[in-house]
Amino acid sequence: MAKFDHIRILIIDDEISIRKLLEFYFKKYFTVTTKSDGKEAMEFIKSGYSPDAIIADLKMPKMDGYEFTTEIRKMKSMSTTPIMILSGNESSSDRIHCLKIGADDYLIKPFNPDELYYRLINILKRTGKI
Amino acid sequence: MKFIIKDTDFDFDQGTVSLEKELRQIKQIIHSQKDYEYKYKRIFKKLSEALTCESIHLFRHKDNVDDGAFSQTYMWEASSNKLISNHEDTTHVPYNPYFERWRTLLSSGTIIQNSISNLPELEQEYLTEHQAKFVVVLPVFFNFKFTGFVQINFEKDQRLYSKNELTIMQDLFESLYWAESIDTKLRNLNAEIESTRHAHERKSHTLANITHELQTPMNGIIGLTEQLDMLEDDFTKKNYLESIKLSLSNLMTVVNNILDTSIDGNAKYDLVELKFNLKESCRNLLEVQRERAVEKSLTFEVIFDEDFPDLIIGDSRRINQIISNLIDNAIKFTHEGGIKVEFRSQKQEGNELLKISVTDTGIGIAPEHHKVIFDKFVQLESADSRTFAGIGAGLTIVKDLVQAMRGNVKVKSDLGKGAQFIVTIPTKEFIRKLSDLEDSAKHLESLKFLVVDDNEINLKVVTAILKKWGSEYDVAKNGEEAIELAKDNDYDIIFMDIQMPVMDGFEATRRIRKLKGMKPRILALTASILRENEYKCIEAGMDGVIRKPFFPDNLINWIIKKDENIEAEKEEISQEQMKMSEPKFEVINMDYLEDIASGNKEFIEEMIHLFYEQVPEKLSDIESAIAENDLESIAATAHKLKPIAGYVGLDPKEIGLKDIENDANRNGDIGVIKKNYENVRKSLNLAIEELKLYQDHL
Repeated sequence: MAKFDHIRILIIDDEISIRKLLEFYFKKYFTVTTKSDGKEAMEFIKSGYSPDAIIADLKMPKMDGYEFTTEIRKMKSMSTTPIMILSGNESSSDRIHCLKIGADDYLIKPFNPDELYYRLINILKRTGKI
Repeated sequence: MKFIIKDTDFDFDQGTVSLEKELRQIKQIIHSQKDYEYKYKRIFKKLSEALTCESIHLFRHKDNVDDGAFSQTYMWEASSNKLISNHEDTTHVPYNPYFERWRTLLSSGTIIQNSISNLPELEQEYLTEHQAKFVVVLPVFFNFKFTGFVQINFEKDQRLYSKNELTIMQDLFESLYWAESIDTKLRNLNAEIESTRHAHERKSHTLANITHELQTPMNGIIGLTEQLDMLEDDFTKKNYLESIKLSLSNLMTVVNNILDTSIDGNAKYDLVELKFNLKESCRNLLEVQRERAVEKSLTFEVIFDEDFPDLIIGDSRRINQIISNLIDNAIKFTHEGGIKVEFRSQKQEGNELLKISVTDTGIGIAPEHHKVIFDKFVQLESADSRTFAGIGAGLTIVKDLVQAMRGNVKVKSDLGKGAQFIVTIPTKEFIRKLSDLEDSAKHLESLKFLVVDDNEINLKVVTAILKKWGSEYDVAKNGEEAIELAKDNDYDIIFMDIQMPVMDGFEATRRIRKLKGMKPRILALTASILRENEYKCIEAGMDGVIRKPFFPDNLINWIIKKDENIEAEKEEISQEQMKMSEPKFEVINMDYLEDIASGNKEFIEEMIHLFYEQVPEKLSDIESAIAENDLESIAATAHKLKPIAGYVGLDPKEIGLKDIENDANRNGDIGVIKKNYENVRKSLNLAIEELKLYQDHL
């Protein structure tokens, strides 16, 4: 598995343990920043940070994954940034809804981090980031 | 519960009130005080009379099988009036190919009734084997789940039953199923309660007995110490001190036993094999016991065989423990007459045997009790239970010790006729000439020691022993000092404390090994009772471990041990550690985290700590949400808990977490949620326990 230091990944999850888990895993391959809810992440992006890909939890306080994705897609600069949604929910309606509002992928927790890595790599390749 | 009967390809007829009534009456059988075999037979018989059918078959649906299958639990034939349970031909019938259609219909709650000739060819093929012309198949549901079906075969074509009639029949079987499963559950629960109660009682007994075992030597120590003050004669004082030492030694044995026993439920005895003079080693003990016997106005006689050897090979402390326990027991149950202790040595089939017998004139033991008296913490429940009330672990320890020494213990006794306990222990060889022993004492004199300990008292204890041996020694207060001294001196043996300021014993050992190689033997003196620490000592390069508090004998035993024995011991400790390092976990599975961590222990530690922090917090959130009937919060918290449980390998579905979320989302029954929550709480708490264990081995 290759290392891409120039790729900045934003990880958003309100659950500290999941955040740590993702951060630990992905910082081996990318430059990682974490935020604990959609609102915080949104403010960070609006302050000028522009990640190459976003991994976001679905259910979060303040601003959840749906709202976050919807808002991000409204921003011109972020309209094509890959967004991966992670959720503990298996229901297909949630999955479809996420894809419908512009998320690129949807993974169910607990997930295999290697799977997430390759999905992410593939999207990044397609969007010409790597 | 009732099911909507879909009018698929089947019709229903008008029913008759009389049949409905008859069917309803059959249900009464369920509530009778009979066993289920009887109930099934009776219900089948009555039902077949009411319907005039040929046979009734009860099938259980097997959900866990890949393609699905069913098995026959009961079969009843009208012609033979016989109930057959678990028919072996039909323990596993796959739905495929004959019954795929049935499965679809039945599991959705549809009742099938039809003439065989109207059924699809595939089904006919199977059913005509039974010479049936008409068939009724009722699905049975339990707890909203399809659990099986009832097939009723008719020899002749039959009128179609009404929806009402069929629903009553279905209800009959569902009620029967409910009643039976509740009954089974209750029975299991009662058995569980009973065994828990039993285990609890046993524990209380054990505790009481342990307390007793501890009290006896403690009382001796307290009594003697109190009198010590008032004594003026130095000789008597010395005698008293000897007795106190003996009691302390007994106390330590008991404590060690408790530790050994409580760790894995079975006592382990680390026996040493040393030359010793039994006459000498048990003299004090016998004196103490003599005084106790004389106090009870009992005679006390000790006999050694004329040719009893000066030296035997064995574990003197453990053999003393055997003697002491046997005499304790004899004195306890003897109220007049006396005790006789005999020591003999015997040659038998090339082996030397040490025979110790303790004979008393006490109340005796009925032959039927001879076996149980050695059982762990058994109290005899009989007419003589009062006199037996004090029986504790003493005889159990005797039996275990003797067994560990590959010997045996026999009892000869009858009620009112006294008792004789005979212990036979095989030993390797007897040394009959005393001169052999002098070597080991000379050996000690010629050795040079280094004692490393930051505690003044510990230093004093060890150096006092070394002084007595006439050995040369140095002392160091910490690891660094030890290294400095080791540089300039060639020590034969280093006694190393583990926990010290500046530099601990592990590090000091590692460095001394680097400087001096394997020359000095390094022995850890530690108060830790953890086997794991022993392993750490060996790993750091030490040759052995002695637990504090220790007796001079322990040190000598170790020092005169041969090299190969030391190596064997180290190997044993390492192997034990290997076993311990692979603990089996019931709920957690750390593969996922270990995989991600790829060797980073700190990360795993951090994740485990997060688990410790978050889980109790989330559990209490759910608990208060349940109390407030706040379904939304329950669902949200359960949802968040799922991946947390997941990363230590718990399946959220399996432990009921998913059910909680689903039920809460669907406005489900709070009672069911509560029940599932209990399960979740238990599983997560168990996970915490296991994680702690896991951390210990990380």
